[in-house]
Amino acid sequence: MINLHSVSAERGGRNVLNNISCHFPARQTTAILGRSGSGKSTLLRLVNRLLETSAGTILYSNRELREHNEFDLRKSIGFVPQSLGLFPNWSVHRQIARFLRSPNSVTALAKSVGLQTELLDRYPGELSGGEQQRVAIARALASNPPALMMDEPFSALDPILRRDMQDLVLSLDKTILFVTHDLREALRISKHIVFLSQGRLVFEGATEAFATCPDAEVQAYFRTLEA
Amino acid sequence: MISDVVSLSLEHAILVATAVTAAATIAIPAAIWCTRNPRPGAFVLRLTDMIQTVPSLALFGLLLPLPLIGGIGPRLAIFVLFLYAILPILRNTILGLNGVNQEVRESAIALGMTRWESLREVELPLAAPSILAGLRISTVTTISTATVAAAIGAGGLGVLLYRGLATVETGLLLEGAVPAAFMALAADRLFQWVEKSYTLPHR
Repeated sequence: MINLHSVSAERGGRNVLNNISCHFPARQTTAILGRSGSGKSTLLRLVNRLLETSAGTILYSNRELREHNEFDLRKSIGFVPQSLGLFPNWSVHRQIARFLRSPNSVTALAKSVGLQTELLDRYPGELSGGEQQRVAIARALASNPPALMMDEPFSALDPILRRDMQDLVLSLDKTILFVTHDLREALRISKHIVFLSQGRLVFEGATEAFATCPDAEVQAYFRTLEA
Repeated sequence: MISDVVSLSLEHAILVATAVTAAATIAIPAAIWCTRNPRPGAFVLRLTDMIQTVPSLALFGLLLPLPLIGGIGPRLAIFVLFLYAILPILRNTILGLNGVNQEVRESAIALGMTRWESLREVELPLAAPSILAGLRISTVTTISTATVAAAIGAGGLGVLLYRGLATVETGLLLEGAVPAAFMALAADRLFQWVEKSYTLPHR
């Protein structure tokens, strides 16, 4: 579905991604894993062209990104940023309805993400953290996109709520790119893992195969699960 | 006497309304441009800052001999008031737009909105309280600066002030000053009331 070939990217004159080649299989969840500053968020923003590559090519549905209309491209990739980016002056209903494409409906979407329909008239500032998460996901799904990108969306949630939200992600039938720095989360929700370290690709493959990766940083990650 | 105060107040209000409306028409789009082009934007802001440092009476005098805008009468007065009214609106609109959360702006674009849609539907409404505060400050200061306009024959409540000063008559001074003060107070309240309607609900 999404293929990267020798992709590099700069941010503020500094190389943050170096020669990355990997792919994100269709209708599966890929966890993009790595420590802070490894280039995970930059990688996501290359796919929906919030940032441009400095070298290499990205294919989306077998066509180069540049061949897609950028607005249609973004409407076909739902995006949930780390701090959600909800519009504070829009009601929940409007946040979802504005991006709605058939056959979705606001109430059906709200229900599918576990959002009570009484909350549709509220504003983001009137919602709990978990409710805001659900609004952001419903909004990202409103245009019925085949793909969904999530940038550490659950890092601020309590462990129980976090598990609920992971279950929600597991229930979605989409091509999902899920950025996280939490190995446990990556192992739970993904079939495929891309591991980055300092802007370089260290591992790409099936989640089951990840533990056998000999890289020192990967092994250090697995040691955090012990004890 | 009373009809004098009423007609001069009306003149005054028209001077102010024309100047502030013209300033807003220029300053709000200019502010949007400044936030999209930060480097030349900073220069524009400094330029309007400079206008503000020239005393108003001096500016009237300096522009008086110019063709088109110069000459005795309300035209020059409105032009000078317009120049002074720009800065608060420009500055507050820039402040309001820059104050919009980066992730909010990013998610608007990431959801497939064009820059124009993001500006119109998300950023400008979020910046509205700051923009309205700019309009409020601009209107209130223009109401008081407009009294100087009488010096170049533009009319308004300044006429009573100059007459009062020349004849050393406190009564005349008050007839000019009190309505001007009330007008400023009323404008202040009106804008504050509109600003309040933009306050976001919170838990």
